[in-house]
Formats: sequence, structure tokens, C-alpha cells
Amino acid sequence: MTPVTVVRSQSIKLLDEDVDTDQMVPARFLRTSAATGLGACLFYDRRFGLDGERLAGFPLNPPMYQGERILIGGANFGCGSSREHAPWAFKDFGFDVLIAPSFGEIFYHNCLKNALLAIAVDPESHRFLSLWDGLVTVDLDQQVIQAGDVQVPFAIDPFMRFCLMRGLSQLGYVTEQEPLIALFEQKNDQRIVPLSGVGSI
Amino acid sequence: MGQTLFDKVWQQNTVKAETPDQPALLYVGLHLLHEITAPQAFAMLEEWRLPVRRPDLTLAMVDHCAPTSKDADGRFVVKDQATVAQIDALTSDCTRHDIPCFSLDHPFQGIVHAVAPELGLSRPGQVIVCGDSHTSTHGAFGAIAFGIGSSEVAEVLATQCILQRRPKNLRVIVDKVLSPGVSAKDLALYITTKLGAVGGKGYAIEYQGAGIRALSMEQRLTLCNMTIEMGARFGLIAPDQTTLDYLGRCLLQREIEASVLGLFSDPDAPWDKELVIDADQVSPMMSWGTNPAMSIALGDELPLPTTATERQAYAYMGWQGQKVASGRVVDHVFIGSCTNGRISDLRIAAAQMQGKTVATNTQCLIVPASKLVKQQAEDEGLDLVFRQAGATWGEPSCSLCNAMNGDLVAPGRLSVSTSNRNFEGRQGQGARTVLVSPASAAQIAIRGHL
Repeated sequence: MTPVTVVRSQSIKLLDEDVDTDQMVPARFLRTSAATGLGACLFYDRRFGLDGERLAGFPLNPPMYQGERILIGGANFGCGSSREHAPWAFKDFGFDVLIAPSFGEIFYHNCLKNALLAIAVDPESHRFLSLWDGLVTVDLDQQVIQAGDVQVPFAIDPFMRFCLMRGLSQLGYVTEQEPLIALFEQKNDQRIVPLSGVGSI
Repeated sequence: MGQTLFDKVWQQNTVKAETPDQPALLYVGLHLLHEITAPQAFAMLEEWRLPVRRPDLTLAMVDHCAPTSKDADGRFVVKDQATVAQIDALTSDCTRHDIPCFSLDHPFQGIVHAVAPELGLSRPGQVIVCGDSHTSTHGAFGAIAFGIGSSEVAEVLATQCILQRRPKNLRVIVDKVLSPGVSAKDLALYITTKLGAVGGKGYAIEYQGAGIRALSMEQRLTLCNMTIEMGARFGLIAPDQTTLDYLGRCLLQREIEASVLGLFSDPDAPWDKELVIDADQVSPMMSWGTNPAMSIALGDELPLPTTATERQAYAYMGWQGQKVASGRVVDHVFIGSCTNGRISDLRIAAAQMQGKTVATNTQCLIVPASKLVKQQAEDEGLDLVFRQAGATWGEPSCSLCNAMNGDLVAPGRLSVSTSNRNFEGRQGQGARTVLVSPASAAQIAIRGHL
């Protein structure tokens, strides 16, 4: 995975509250077993009308969208379904950072697993960033968002930060815990009940 | 100081304790897979050349894109090649890794959140995960059950463990009991309006009180299912005699530990947040907006939208110029899903539809949540009641809950649904969804309007 350190870009705003992952990637685009090429589906039903026409008023369409890598979202961004297709679509579209007052929890974790830095900020900072049209610099090492003279510090799980900055997959970390896992299984042998009988029916 | 139920189950399943620098590593007792979010996880395993650690604790099934109709020869009508490929990907991945998989023709196929409980696989005290947000359903047994992404599915396949930070504890105390004709679905929508769509964020929600103890196991599954709509990934209920009786009737009988009845929150357990409600204040509910927290009691006046989000929802749903929802013509009624597609839901719907016919302006689709539910319903003659009323009786699937299998609501049409989400476009691009209980859905199907 590509390490995340500093991202510098202007931001695009999509400030609606409770934007769910069904809107981000409508269910009919989930009929794929691939995790690639989903950028074309991102917010499809909001980018395009019923007749397939591009809706110029939607921020992710030109002329409003001009290759920004940072998106400022509204509260409860990414609520709903657990589909990891949503962060895959944001990354594929070209985004590296999402900033919102709050996120759907499953979506938030899915973002951080895919080098898509999701940052929750306080409402006042969010209001400021929503109105700021200049360059925004997101520095994961310093845990700060810089917009002009304004600095907005942000919190992130130190473990997630460590993995993101080094481009490490958490799959690597969990597989390294093998001795502890084996020990747990040994100690809890009575409690771990195989689904015996299921396979044969 | 005492412990909450959630914290007890957490502790029992901790492989490696949480520190400021590292999340806890929890052992997963049951891992459920389906065709939409698992194939990418298997691809990650391939990339890392990792085997599946515990295929014997893993179960897969086809549900999200399973067709609801069969042709004259009894073959499933799969509407596109992408779906065929998706089902093939899951079944071949499972065969390769020795994981049991219930595909379309399997006698136990159904929606994961219906099948695991009815077979007796969802157990008190376990950690249960699935790449689906409605995994909170299984918390009804006193388990830590939650939805995860595909990357996490890969981690669980490889190690049978999941990294987690411990959430805070929220309890919802439901005093008194629900009035006749009011169901757990109404209760769930009511609690969602009180907590809001983000009120549960960061919390595990435990439901307690006389109103919860009085619920059947299937009603408890409905309530825990809807917990994700309050922003919380976890909803759980302490196991009691109702839980044990239910497990004792399941198809697969497995030994029940005596310690199960010790799984409850201690009286002096610390709570980070609390909500107390009276069950007798809950009446049949309906959603009016585009998330489940935007709900009102059936028959109440529509709220005047005050925020931008509410105004957008109001416009999307097409309520302009209407003071009340009553009288609005309903194009579709859907009864089914992991929320309300179980046998008790279908019995309630059938009781309302017995000897009546669905309104001519309304299409009614009824989809059992699993093959076992379908069989039971047919043994009881419920399918006949539905068919004679003019409803369509489908094959087990998520169907119109997520509109992935070809079942769709056309743009602008109004759908009354027993499913869990009324998001914009959830049942089809431009489709409008009103969430209700099975009893209300069946009554509305007959009437043809709200």
C-alpha cells in the first residue's frame, strides 16, 4: 500500500449530512468481485440523471470538480452499508483525504485500511474548512490540517497512523500474532465450537 | 466495579489486550460470508498466499443477489452474467478453502442473518462478524456481533481474529411491555427517533428492561438488526430462558454452557450513556424521510422540515403540500429482509391478508428470509394466503431491501417496506421508501394507500 504522509490540494465540498454508502456506490454496481475501477461508479446517481445526463450542479462533476484530492463531507459521512467498495471508489476517483464532523464507523475503518485518510474534525473547524477555497495541507505525521494561517489539529488512532505512514497492511500485523492466537485456541478449546454438521447437510 | 455484558464477552474473547498503541485482538467464534464482500477478501488471501485458518468456524451463503423468481422449469432466473460470476466466485473460493457454502439450491440457503440464528449457529458469548452492517442482528443472543469491511474479512479468514478498539457502553432501558399490534420493528424505529441516526456512534447498545424480556427471540433479532441505523455497530441483549428455549428448538443442537446465564450486565456496571423509554408509549411507526431516524407514528402529522437535510428528504419523498401521510397512494409493498422476513413476521402478515386482496394499484412482494422459513410458511399454508390475496411469493433473498437481484422500484414510485433502510435510491434509482412493521405493511397492501 502507498504510504500516506502529506497531502496538499484544494478541497471539494459535499456537505450534505448522513450521506450513506448506498449513495457513494449504488448497489447495482456491487455486482462485481473486483476492488478496482470503481471510481466511475462513485456517486453515480447523483452525478448523472435518470437519462444518463451529467448533472453540472453536483460538486464531483466538472466544472466544479477539478482533480481535488481532499473532500470535505457532512456529518455522519458514510453511514449505512459496510461495502468497502465506497472507499475503493473514492481512492480510484482520486481522493486521498476525507474530512467531516463525523463518519459512519464501518466506513471510517474501511477508509483507513485503504490509504484513504478519514479525519473527523470539530464543528467549528469543519465550518471554517467548508468555506475555505485555498490550498489545504494535511500532515499525518504532525496530525494537523493547515489552511492558510489556520491550523486544525486532528486525532487518529496511533496504530492506524503507524500503519498508514508506512503503507503497512494490517493483515501483516494480525498474521504475526500467530503464537498468541494458537495459545488462545489451546486455552479455550471447550468454548470454540466448530460448525460440525453444517458441511455434511 | 461491575462489568457490562459487552465487556464480559469482550474479555472472554480477547487474544491480545488493547493498549494505547494497539487495538485489542479478538477471537471470532463465527464468521459469515456472502457473495458481495467475500470474493475480494479471498483475492487478498491469494495475494498474500495465506490459507484460511478456521474453515470450520466459517459459513458462506448467497443472499444479496439471489433471484426471487424461478422459471417454469424450476430454475432460478439470474438476470445478468455479473451475478452468475459473483456466485461462482464465492462457491469456488469456498470449495478451494473447504468452507461450507449454501448456494442457491442448498436447502438451508437464505439471508445470513436469518440462517445462522435459525440453525443454532449464533451463540451467546461469541464474537460474530460478517462483511455486512446488519450483523448486529446476532447480538440478540448476547454476542458481540458486528459488520466489517472486506479487508477485515481477509484478516479474519487468515487469523480468525479481528482488531478492535473497545466501544463505550450505552444502555436502552425499555420499561413496561409493547401494546398488542406493536412490534419490535416499531420499537426499533421509535428508539431510533429518540437516539437519532448518530446517537449510537461509538457505543455498543445493550437493550434491557421488561419490554425486552417480553420480546420473542425473533423480535429481539429485529431490534438488534436495526441498531446500526442508530449509528452503533453493536446491539445486544442478555441471554435468558427465551434465548435457551429458542436454541433448544434449532435444527443443529449443540451443547449449551451453563455459564451462558451468567452473561448479563452487573447491577453496578458503569454506563457511558443511557436512554429510558416506556414500551406502552410506542405505537405503529412509519419512516417519512431518507433515514430511519426520520420516523413518526402512523397517523401523526408529517413534521415540518427544519434542517437542510430534512428539507431534502421531504422533497425527495414528495411530501410537498401534504400535512399527513394518510391517503398517499402506494405502488409497492415489500415484506421480507433480515429485519422482517422470519416466520413470525410472515404469520403476522398472513393474518392481516387472510381472505382479502391486495389493492389493484399496488404490487406486493413477499420474500421469506430463508429456505427453512419458506418451507415452514408453506407447511402452514401462508403462501396460499399471500397468493390468493394477489401477492407474489418469492425465493429467499435480500431482494428489494437492497435492490441488487433485479427486484426494483421505479423512479418516483412509493414503496412501503419492512426492510431496514429508506436511503435515497436504496430500492432503485429515485425510488421512495417508507419503513414499517410487517403488520402495517400487510394492511397497507390491502388498502393500497397509506
